[in-house]
Amino acid sequence: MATYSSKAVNNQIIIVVDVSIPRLEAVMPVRVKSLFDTGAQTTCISPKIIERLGLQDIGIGYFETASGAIIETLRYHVRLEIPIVLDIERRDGITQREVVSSGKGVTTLALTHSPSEYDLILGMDFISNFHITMWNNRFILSN
Amino acid sequence: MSDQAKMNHEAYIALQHKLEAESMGKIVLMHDGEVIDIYEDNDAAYDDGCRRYGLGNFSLQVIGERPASLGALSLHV
Repeated sequence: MATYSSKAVNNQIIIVVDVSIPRLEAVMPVRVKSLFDTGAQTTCISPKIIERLGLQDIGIGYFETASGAIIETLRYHVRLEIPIVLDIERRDGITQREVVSSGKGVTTLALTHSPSEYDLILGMDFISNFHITMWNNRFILSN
Repeated sequence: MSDQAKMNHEAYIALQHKLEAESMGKIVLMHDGEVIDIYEDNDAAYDDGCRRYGLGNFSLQVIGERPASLGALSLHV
């Protein structure tokens, strides 16, 4: 089983995710910092990454703010991959390092601003596909 | 906002009650203000939209989708 592990910093879990455009393999994936947010229903992407990837929208979506106001935004379909480093012991005893990834296609909402600490908010639509353990300030994700 | 997004959204609003009654939770593919097809799966809808019209020339809408809550981040959007 591929497993990703990291430490929570400042009580936040920020991991690296590769963002790409499904069916447009000619566009190289962009590696971004992503906030794990179990309070968010939907995965969201910053305007900076939308511009960097040259993403084309797939329609209109909406946020509800804490005050109850509804904000109109655009929706983008992307593929998100979590790069996982594995140390695999071969039959001859030599340990070989391999990078595998685990991910899926997800429809994101565009944030209205680009946060300074991360460019993606991983919401429950993405997170709920994984087995997650949080213990002793460590975060362990597997699929 | 692209012309497709605007046109398709207006058409979706006009058809929303009918679509929600018949296909709640499914994905509708729209192009030039018309419903093209309805799918169970977002990836399948996206693939078909890209194949038929090219990315940027269609819209996908989850039928009956409500505005998303971002939890604590809702204070900042």
